[in-house]
Amino acid sequence: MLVVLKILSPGILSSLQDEGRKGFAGFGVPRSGAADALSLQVGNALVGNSAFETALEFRFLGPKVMAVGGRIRLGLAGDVTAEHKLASGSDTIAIKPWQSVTLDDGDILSIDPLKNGATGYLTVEGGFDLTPVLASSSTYARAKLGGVNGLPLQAGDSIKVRTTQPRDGLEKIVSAPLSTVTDVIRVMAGPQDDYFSDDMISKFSDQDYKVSSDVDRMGIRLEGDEITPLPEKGSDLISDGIVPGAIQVPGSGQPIILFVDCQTIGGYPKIGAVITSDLPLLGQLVPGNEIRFRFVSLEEAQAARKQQNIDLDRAIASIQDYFGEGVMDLKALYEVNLIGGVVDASMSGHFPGHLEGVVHGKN
Amino acid sequence: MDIRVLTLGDSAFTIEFPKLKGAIGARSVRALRSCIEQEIDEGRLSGVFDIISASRSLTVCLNPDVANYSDVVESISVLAKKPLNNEGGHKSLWVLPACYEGDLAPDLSDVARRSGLSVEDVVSIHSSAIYDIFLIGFLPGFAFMGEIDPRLQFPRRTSPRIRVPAGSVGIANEQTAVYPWESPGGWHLIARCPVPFFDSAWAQPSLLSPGGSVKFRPISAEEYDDVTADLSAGRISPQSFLTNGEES
Repeated sequence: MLVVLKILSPGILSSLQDEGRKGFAGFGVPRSGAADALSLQVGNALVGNSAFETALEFRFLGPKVMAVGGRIRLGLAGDVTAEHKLASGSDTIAIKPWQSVTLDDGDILSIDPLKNGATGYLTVEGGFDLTPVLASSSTYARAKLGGVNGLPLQAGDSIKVRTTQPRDGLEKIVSAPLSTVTDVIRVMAGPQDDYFSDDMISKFSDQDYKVSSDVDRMGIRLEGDEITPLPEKGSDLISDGIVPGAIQVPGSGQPIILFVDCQTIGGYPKIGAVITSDLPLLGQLVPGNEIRFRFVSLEEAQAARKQQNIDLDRAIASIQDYFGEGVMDLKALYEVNLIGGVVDASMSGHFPGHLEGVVHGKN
Repeated sequence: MDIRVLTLGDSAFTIEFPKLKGAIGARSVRALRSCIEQEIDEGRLSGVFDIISASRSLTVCLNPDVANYSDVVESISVLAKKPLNNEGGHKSLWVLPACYEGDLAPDLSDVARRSGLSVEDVVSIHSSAIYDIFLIGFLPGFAFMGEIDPRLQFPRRTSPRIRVPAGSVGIANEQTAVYPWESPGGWHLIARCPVPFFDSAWAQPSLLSPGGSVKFRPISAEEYDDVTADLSAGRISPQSFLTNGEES
């Protein structure tokens, strides 16, 4: 049976993304990939997938999707809520952030507009059944690479879902999710910090920048007091390599943080580059946000990355069975030894429909 | 070789040859790139996942969870300081059709005016030279080529176009290029080339590669339409514009 996730309405700039397209910069191919790789990884863990399985990324306004041809379990990652409309009857169920939800054939999930942050993910248990293009399923629309026909998702698209994995009956929730919303972005100076006076460097890191309305996967334009290069340097240089997170300062003096879909080389001086552990935070910046940059050393960047990996593991370890709003977590009760030996959880009837999960529930 | 190492966050750095430019710079970058690729093929430099070539520098991207930044900088600096083979060697020559007429050449008359030459002279100067392919970058399949005749060298347009059509042949400063995709762009557009430059289904997704060379063959608007139709119907392949180093 062919099971597909049908896009009823695409939201804004929704696309399929994974870890990105690595190793093709020599052909001029941008990296692409998830705007918030941390949320993607936690979302994939929520449905038992490998960390960078391709997911549906949405920005600002989420999509409305329907399961067609069978049952699909989705994971909702990001500070995002949704409404689950059952095909059988008129019931709707409110879905909390960071939980899994199973759609039966014909069920509809409507993602609510994002209130906090810019990016969310729908991960799908087993993954989407896609043919990678240049080793990735990430969508890069300009060159029509990856995704569904190389394009952002459109109403009517049907994305095939792999159904080979055995299904565990219980829903899951991330009880201690990672926040990727922040107002401080850490950067390392370079490659062209020598284009700017010490005063300009201080001006860059001492001011609050406003995120402009020009925010997309290619770049995030900021608004603030003008930063000007040293007169003898100018703002035109012999183009060199750029990566997501590099902060270029064009002639206007208003910095642009280059992002996941950025081109591979650029000719404006780059005052700094966002450290690896703070790249996912860029995916959550919303127009109007105020942010501040803080310069850090390589050692601090490396320590931050280590800490982030620990935090990520901890968030993933906090995934537990979810019985629904207000229903007690039987397994957790067992673990604290409150009801052990009193209730026979394997006896059917205690939690209709959740029997398998109670007995074999795995975290 | 003289180098500078420039920090680009904790997962990339740029090695620059500050004294080099043009064809020599591009050849040195190519030579260093192949040294690094060989190291990777031999199982060293683990965690290095991408290399970006620019005209006189090369950016190394690494996974900070796998590679130690300082160790990779050190290893690659050692390679870059060695004498690099930047000889020209045998060159493949692409002869690419380009129509320098009407709407397909929106900035041609402006370039002629600014250079004090006739439109015919600009076309003849641009299409008679053989250009080195310096690097592929910016967009998939976008080849930076040069150097163009000094009489045609002008800085980029002060206000970049929001939409440059795919196939546009542009000039800016010492370089010329063809936009493989519709994109924003600030180069002066003097012709249109009907050949596709990138396809993820090709064994090598970019038609052109650094080290090769390109010459443009002026064609009429009518021939432009014919070649476009032949290419899209598969009657001619983009690879057929490659000659064996001799001008056709």
